[in-house]
Amino acid sequence: MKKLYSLALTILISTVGFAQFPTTMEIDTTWLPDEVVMPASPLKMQVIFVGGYDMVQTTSTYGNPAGEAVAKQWHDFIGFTPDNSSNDLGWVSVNHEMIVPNDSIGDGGGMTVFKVRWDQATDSLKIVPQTLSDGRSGDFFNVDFVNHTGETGMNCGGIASIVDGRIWTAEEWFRGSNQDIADRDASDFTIGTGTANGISSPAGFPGFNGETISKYQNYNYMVEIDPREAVAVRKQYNWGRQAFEGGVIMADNKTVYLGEDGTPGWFSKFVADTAGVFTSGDLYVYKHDAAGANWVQIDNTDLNKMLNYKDEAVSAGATMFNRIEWVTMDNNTGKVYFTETGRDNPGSRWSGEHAGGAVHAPHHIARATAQGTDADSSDYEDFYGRIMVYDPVTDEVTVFLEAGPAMPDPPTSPYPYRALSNPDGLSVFYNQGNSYLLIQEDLNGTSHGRVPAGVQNRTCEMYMLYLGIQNPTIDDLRRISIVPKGAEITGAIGIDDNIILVNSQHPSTSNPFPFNNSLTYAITGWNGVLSDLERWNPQVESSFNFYPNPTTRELFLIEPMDVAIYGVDGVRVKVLRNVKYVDVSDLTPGTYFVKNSVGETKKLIIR
Amino acid sequence: MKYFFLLIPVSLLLFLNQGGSKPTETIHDYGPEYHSGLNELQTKAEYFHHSVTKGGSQQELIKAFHSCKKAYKRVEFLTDYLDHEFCNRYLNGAPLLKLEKNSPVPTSLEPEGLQRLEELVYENPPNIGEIKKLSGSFVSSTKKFYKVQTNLTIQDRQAFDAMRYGIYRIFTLDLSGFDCPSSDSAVSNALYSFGSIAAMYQEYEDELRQKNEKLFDETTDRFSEAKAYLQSNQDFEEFNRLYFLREFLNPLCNAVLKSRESLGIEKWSEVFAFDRSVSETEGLLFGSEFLNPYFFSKFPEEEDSEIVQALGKELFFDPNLSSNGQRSCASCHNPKLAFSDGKRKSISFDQKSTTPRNSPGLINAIYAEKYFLDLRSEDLESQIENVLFSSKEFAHDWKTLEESLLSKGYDQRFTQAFPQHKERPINKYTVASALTSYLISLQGLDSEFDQYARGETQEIDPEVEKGFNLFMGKAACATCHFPPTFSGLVPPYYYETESEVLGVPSEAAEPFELDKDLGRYDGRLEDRIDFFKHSFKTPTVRNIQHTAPYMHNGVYDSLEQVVDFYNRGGGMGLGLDVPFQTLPGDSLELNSKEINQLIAFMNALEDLSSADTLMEIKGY
Repeated sequence: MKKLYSLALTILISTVGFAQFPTTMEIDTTWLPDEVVMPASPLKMQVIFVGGYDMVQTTSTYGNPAGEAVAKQWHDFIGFTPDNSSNDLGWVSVNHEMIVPNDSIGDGGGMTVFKVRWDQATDSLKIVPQTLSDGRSGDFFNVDFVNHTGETGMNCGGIASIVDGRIWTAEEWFRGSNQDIADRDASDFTIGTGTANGISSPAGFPGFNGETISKYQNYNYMVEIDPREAVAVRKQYNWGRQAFEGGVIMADNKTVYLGEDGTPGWFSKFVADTAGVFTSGDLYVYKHDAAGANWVQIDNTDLNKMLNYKDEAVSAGATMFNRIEWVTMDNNTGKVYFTETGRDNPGSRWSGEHAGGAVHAPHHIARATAQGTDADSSDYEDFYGRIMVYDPVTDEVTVFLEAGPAMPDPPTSPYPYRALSNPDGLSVFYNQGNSYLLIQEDLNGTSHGRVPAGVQNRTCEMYMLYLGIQNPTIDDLRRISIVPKGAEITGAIGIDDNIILVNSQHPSTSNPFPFNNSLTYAITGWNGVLSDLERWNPQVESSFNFYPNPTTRELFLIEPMDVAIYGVDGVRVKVLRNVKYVDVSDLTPGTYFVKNSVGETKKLIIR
Repeated sequence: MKYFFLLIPVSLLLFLNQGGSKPTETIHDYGPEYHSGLNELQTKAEYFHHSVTKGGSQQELIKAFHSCKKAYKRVEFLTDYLDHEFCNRYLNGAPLLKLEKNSPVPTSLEPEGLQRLEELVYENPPNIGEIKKLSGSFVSSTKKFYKVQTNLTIQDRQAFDAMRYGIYRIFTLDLSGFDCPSSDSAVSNALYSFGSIAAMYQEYEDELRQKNEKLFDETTDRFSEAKAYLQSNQDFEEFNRLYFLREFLNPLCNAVLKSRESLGIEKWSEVFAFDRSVSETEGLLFGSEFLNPYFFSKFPEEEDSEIVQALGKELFFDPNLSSNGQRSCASCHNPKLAFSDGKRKSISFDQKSTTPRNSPGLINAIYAEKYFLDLRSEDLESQIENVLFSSKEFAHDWKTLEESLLSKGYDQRFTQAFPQHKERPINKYTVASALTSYLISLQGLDSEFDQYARGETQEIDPEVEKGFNLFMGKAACATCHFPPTFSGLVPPYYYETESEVLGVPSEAAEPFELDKDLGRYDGRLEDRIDFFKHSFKTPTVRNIQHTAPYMHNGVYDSLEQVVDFYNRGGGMGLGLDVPFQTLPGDSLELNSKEINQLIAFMNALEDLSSADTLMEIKGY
């Protein structure tokens, strides 16, 4: 009967045509409407490191003495190295995706490392002060690249080994000449030396030491660092010179999968001869249509071939991807996931390599065919990108989740209910033995429904996806919204069941400090939350049109409708149309009134 | 404070599975009309492409092109509002090379769409192969667009927003001939756009009559009169833009806002948590509150105060910001010269050489997407850092600056201004924020011209009026110096700042030589692409009589010389080889009377009120 009643109301509304929400409403204090209480979320956010604000300890660089400097910004990848020998949690490594000259930190980009522990008394993370063996002492440390491996730059993604927490940083943004770097010293670089002439690198690279290359050719590697001592260890010349964005070390501590951010971008594999020793082993590039195993070996003992990896991949007939970003692995299944972020019109960007022998991935051929064109044509579009999966058992790369707006049919909304566009950051978070993908967007644009119509801001969001779901769709993504507005998440990593560390870069909008800076923060309190999350859909046992979920700060509606929210002063503060939820996290805690399109009003208390 | 520590709640959004769906309730569902307009565009595009493929004459191509453009102009106020980026890239963007956004290496995109096609069909003889390629792409773009757009409905708030931005577009882009590079169709384009906006407004007749009959009737009349004016004044050069603004556009901009209000349709801020550049309450394009300065800064309005601003002013004039204690911001930004310095290039840190470029004025400088003449800083925080770090400017670093400000007894002032930073009051953020706050206060949008344009005054020198009409029309100044800032801040959304390749010579006298400064190409690595060589940010022409000498290298001492440079067609007009010049290389054919009128208009944009109060400070 109730259903019939609401149907009748619907018909009534459609004749009225428009849900009128007066801009002010009279609040009758004697009248007590139904009350909805929205408790604060059990999740907590804690800022731990602010770029451009916190001080890092630096080594003696370019003849300047060791000391202290304001940390660089543009946080991207975040790595974690557990400390198994003390009660501290471990070391955190943060990438700075930039190129800027700096007298004490070093030219280019860089990394900052620090150590954290969990403080029971305050239920929060604390930074552990350290004294390193080079004598530096403090909270935050600049990773010294200059004196060890030569400068680094545009540090994007990276690798955090799940075996032992070893960390590599990825040097993205392919440099074609010395003009493309911001180094004060652009003279030729000899492998095995730092740039500060006379200071020799402790490790160098076996087999290539003493070889001289142009300075720009010393960029675009995976670079191992030691987060405990805040120094770079070596550039991984034997993995090829590529516009690296991400990679992953497998549980055998021998196999490494690597992705390149380019059109075309290659998916590569390195297999070490000895577990844990990554200076010697074989390198392969993925070729889905190869005879036998889907990998073609590239000679990585020839430095020239390593410097010109792309030529080798093309002549190997490798499979071309459209900008591979982060690579990760689910330790529960051994499957490798990577983001293929997409590029609007890739046609002319890879047609030359196609002609040279490289091949299109099957999903690009299928997509182009469905669009009535071919993958080399300027008509072929790849606006949204996708998440790919590589299964070592079948040796196949396939599409795991195609991104894009989930368009309602028939059209009902000015914006699709969910949209994943240009996925970039990717990692696996484990909670109570279950695996969840953490996915971060980095939008290539605002066109084609990547943001709500009429919006110019690139709003990049973080999503969580339960990997237990078979054949997931966009509908299975859960958006993680972080207070406050606008902070753009670039990287995230779970360090235990309870804590996710998150990096965010400058938001495009104004925000109160420190949220208008690059920052690293922790979201804690996941224990208990995810058991609710696993049910995904909150229990709906209500005759009300809207209700809170016990663990959220959103208002849920049983069916899409128009709602308005008024403050206690009766002034309208929010209007949302045709929605199934309302995010009220930007409203200050207090009392509000929610009105729906049929005039029902409820008191809303936000805690 | 050892590290920043803050606990705030985080929310987790769980999307529910979609249940049944019902359309959003709107007063008027404009969807069907919009979709049929898009369908019409697609049909015209196909017809145009067909004319090209079947080998039609140039006259036929031009005719088919214009019917295509007309179909586009009829839906543009919606298409461009709903997906500006797509329209700009594929349908009606400037016919210039563009930079691909967010690409892994700097990549250029060839121009596509109607503006490029217009250039091509008017070429003599037309390059049929190129036209065919682009008319084919245009057809496929309209199809892709149709597919996405027909999946969306249009809400009332979007309809009113689109009408409002549409009216601004008509004035700032259509009527200046911005998007018809080769033909004389600016006024008729404006008329097509106007017709659609007026028709959409009429859809709200029943509800508006109930709420405010007078407003509806007046607005309807105003729309009709405006259309009639456009119909009977089709000559691009003769069109009186200032009259049209005062009589029609101003009242209509206000009326659209008022109508939305009276219908109770929600504002942007009731839907989205982030702000935008254009005011929600000020309808007038030349209203001094029309643009929101905080949109352009990372410093939030909630944290700004008179105390912060006063601190920023103090810092601005304090030479302790430089490592030798001799240079302050005011050394190159003198309030008496609208915050420029009167020199071709500024004196550098050691006072022995000069900085690489001319010092720009700062009044209204906040209104930009990026800063510096090469657009290398995305925000003021990094702009300030660049000056601080530069060996030719302050030759300083943050840590030493913090210590030096502390030793000068600034900590109390900072604590007052930034109470939330009481543990470490002087830091990069607070220093940059105080300077930003001061820069935000340097506004000048209330000149004699602005007052007349808003209708507050009833008289203006006829030379100024003529000069404005030239600026917006024949002299084509406004196709780069957009109203109301008359800078490269692009209407109608005002969030992007453009740079241009003009071919500025190194010296004003012959023999001419292209100035060697590569501008934007040497700015951000992301901009290191050939077509940004010699490209410089388009500055405002407000207060220009105080900011001589002109251009990035200060090559011209007078405005007459500057206008003469443009009148001759920039560097190309001087006979220089400027491969990517964005300014047409032919003469504007302005006579000396017209040049004087242009200058009279620019002089009427003077507003130094924000600098006046400073004169007593520090001896200025």
